[in-house]
Amino acid sequence: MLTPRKTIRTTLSAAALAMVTSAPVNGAEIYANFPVTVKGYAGPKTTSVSYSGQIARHVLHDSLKKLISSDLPEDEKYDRLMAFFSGKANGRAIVAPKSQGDFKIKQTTIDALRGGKNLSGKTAKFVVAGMPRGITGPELVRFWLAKAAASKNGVDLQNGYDYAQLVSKFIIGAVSFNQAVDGYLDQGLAATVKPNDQAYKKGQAYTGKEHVWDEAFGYFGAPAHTLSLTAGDLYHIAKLGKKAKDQKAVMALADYNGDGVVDLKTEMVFGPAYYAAAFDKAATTAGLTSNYSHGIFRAFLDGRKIISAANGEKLSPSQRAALVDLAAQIETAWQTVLAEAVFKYAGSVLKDMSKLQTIVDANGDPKKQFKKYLKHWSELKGFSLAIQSGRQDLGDTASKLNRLIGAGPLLLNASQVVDIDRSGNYVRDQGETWAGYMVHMVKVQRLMVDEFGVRVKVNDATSDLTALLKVAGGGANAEND
Amino acid sequence: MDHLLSTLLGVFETFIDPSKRIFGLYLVSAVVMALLSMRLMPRLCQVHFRQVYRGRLFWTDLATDLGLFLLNPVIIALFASYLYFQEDLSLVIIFWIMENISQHGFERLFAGVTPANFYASIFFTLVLFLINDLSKYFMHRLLHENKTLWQFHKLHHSARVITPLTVFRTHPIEALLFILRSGLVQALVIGVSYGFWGNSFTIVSYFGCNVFVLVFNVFGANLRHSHVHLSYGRRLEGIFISPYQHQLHHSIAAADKNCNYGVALALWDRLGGTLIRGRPVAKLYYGLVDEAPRFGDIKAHYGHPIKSFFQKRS
Repeated sequence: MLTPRKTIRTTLSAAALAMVTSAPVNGAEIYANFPVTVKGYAGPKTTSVSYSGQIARHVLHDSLKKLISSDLPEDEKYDRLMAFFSGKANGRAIVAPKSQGDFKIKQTTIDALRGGKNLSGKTAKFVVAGMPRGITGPELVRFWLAKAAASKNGVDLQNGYDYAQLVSKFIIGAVSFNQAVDGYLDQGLAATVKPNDQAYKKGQAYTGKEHVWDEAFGYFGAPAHTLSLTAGDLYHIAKLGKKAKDQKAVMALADYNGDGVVDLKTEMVFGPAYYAAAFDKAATTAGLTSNYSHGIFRAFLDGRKIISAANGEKLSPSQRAALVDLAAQIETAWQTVLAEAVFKYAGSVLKDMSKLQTIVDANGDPKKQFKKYLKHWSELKGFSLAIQSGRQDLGDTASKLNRLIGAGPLLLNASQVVDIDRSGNYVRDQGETWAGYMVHMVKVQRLMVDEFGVRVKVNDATSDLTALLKVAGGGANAEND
Repeated sequence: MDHLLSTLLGVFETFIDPSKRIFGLYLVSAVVMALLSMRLMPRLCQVHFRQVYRGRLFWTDLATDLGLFLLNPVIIALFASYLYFQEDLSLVIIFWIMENISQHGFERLFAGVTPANFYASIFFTLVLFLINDLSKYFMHRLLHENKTLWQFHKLHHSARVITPLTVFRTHPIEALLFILRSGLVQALVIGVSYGFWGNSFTIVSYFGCNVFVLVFNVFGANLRHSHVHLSYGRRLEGIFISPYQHQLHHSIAAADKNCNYGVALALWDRLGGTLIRGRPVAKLYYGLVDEAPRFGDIKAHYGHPIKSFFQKRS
C-alpha cells in the first residue's frame, strides 16, 4: 500500500522527471528522449523509446493498400501482396508513403524501419462475425487479397467490393486497434507481465512496461511532436501535403528535427492517428470541439511519464492503476474515432445511393457513381469490422451492425452477397429494397450515436430533418392552451 | 447533473426564444394590442384591473405558475433521457412512413440540396400549422372529456388569476402528452410531404419559428391568459379564437363549460359543436368549481391526479 506521502512523492518525482525527459523543445512536449532506466544496462542507447516495429507495420499496411489498387498481372500482384502481408523477407521497398514533390521521406525500405516484420502475425485471430463462413482475421485478409489480385485495380464491380478500402480499414482495426487495446494496454499492463524492473528482453535498453507502452503508442501512428501540431496539420502531413496549398510548409511542420526529411519512425502520421485528427479537423470546421488526436496522444505521453518516473523499479499499484485509467481513456477515444468513421461512411453510402437512384431514374450511366458507392461501402464495412476488433465483445451492437450492413453492398439489381461457398465464390441473393437499405444506413448512424456517443457526425443523414423538426416543433413544449 | 442544470438555465431562454409563447417581443406586442383595442374599440375590449390583483390570491397563483414553469422542464428532461423523445420519435415515424407509404420518399430525402420550391414550402407550412391546430383541439377536448385526463388538466384550470405564465401551468404528464402529440403530427406531415415533394420544400419561418405561429403570437396570443377581455366580434370569432373566447373557456360559470377548445382557429370548435362566440365582453371569474388541491402547493398539484385515480379504484 502506498501511503499518501509516498503517493505525493511518486507524483512529484514523476512530474520532475517528466520535465527532464520530455522537455518541450518548441513549446510542446514530445514522446521521445525518455532515458534508459533498465538497471545495469551497458549498451550504447541513450533513450528507452522504441516502436519502430509498429511503424514498419503501418508502412506495410500503406504499401499493401497502394498495391491492391495497382494494375499488375494477377500472379505477380498476389505474390507482392503476400510479401507485404505475411512475408518477412529483407529488401522490401516501401510502396507508400513515398517522397512526393517537396515532401521528402527519409526511409525507402521496410528494413530501414525494422526488418522481419509482417501483418499476418499480428492480425487478430478471432472469427470475424461480420463475414460469412466463420473465418478468422488473417484468413479473411488472405481471401480478400486473392480476390483483389484477380480484380482490376482491386475493385470487384460484380460483387461490389473495393478491396483496398476493405483490407485497409479492417487492418486499422484488426492489427493496430486490436494489438494496442486488446494486447499491450490490457494484459500488457498486468503486474506479472513484462515487469518494469527487468529489461523487456535481455540486453535491451527498455524495461518491460516501457516497451509495452511504447508499442501501443506506435500502433496509434502519431508523430512524437503531435502536441505542437493542429488537427489540420496532422491531416495534411498524412496526405503528404498534397491537399495543402503549400506542400513545403507541411513538410516543415512534419520535419521536427529540421534535417530536411520526414522520418517515418517519429515524424509521420499513420492510419489511426490520421482518422482521429480528421474528425478533430471536421469538428473545428463544424464549430464543434473534439480532441481525439491530442487526447489520445496526451494519455500516451502521461502514461509514459509515469513509467519513466518508476526509474526501472517495479510499478507500484497506484502507478499501475493510473496506467490502467489512461489505457481506458485511450481505448474509449480510439473506439469512438472508429465509430465516427462508421457513422461518416454510412452517410456517404446513403448519399451515393440517392445519387445512383437519380441517375438510374434518368437512364444515365451509373458506373462512376457506382464505383464511389463501392469505395464508401467498403470503407464502411472495413471500419464496422475494425470497431469489433477491440478488447470488448460488442455483443448485440455488433450483431445489429453486421446485419444492417450485410456481407456486401446492395447492388443495382437489388442483389447482395450473402455467403461464400466452399470454393471461395461469392453467393448472391435477393437483398433488401433500395429504400430499405438506405434505412439501414440511417440506423447504422443512430447505432453509432446511441452506443458510442459519436459527436462530430460527419455526413449526418438526418441533420436536415432534425433541423426541420426543430423549427416545426417550435411551440412543442409544456405550453398549455 | 450538468444536463439538469443546463435545462434549468435554458428555462430563462424562453423569454428570448421567438418559438416560445412568452418571448419578450410577443409580450410587448400583446400589451400594445391591448392598449390599441381599448382605445379604438372599447366595446370589444375591457380590462378588469381589480380582477388581476387580489392580494394573496394573485401571489399564490403566480407562485404556482412560476414554480411549474421552472420545475416542469427539469422533470421532463429527466423523463426524456430515458425515453425516445420528440425528435427521435418523429424520426422513427417519418422513416416508417417513407419506408412503407411514400413512394421514393426515402431516396428523395437524401437526394442532396435542391432549390426549395416556394409553393410547396408555403403549402407544407400551412398544412403543418392546420394539422397542428386541429390535433391541439382534439387533445384539449379529450383532456376535458376523459375523466382521468381531466384530473391532470384541472391544474391548468385551477388558476383564478391568469397571466401569460399560466400557459406553463401544466402537469408534467400532460406536458409529455403534448410532446408526443407534437412529435406525431410533425412526423406525419413531414413524412407525407417528403413523399410528395422530396426534399424540395422547407418550412417558411422567421427567427426559427413557423410563420403562421409567428403571426398568431404577434397578434396577442398572450392575451388569452390574461384579464384583458378582447373579443374579435361575432363574425371573426367564427374563424379565429379570440382571447375572450379562451377566457370563456377558463370561466368558472357553468354556462361557459366545455367550450372553445381551439387554439388559433375557431373552425374546429364550429365543426365539433363546442364554439361559443364572445358575448359583449363582461367581467369573468376564472377557476374551478370542483375540488382541487390547495392553491400554491405544487407537490399537491403533481400528486393530485394520481391520488384521485387510486381513490376512485379503491
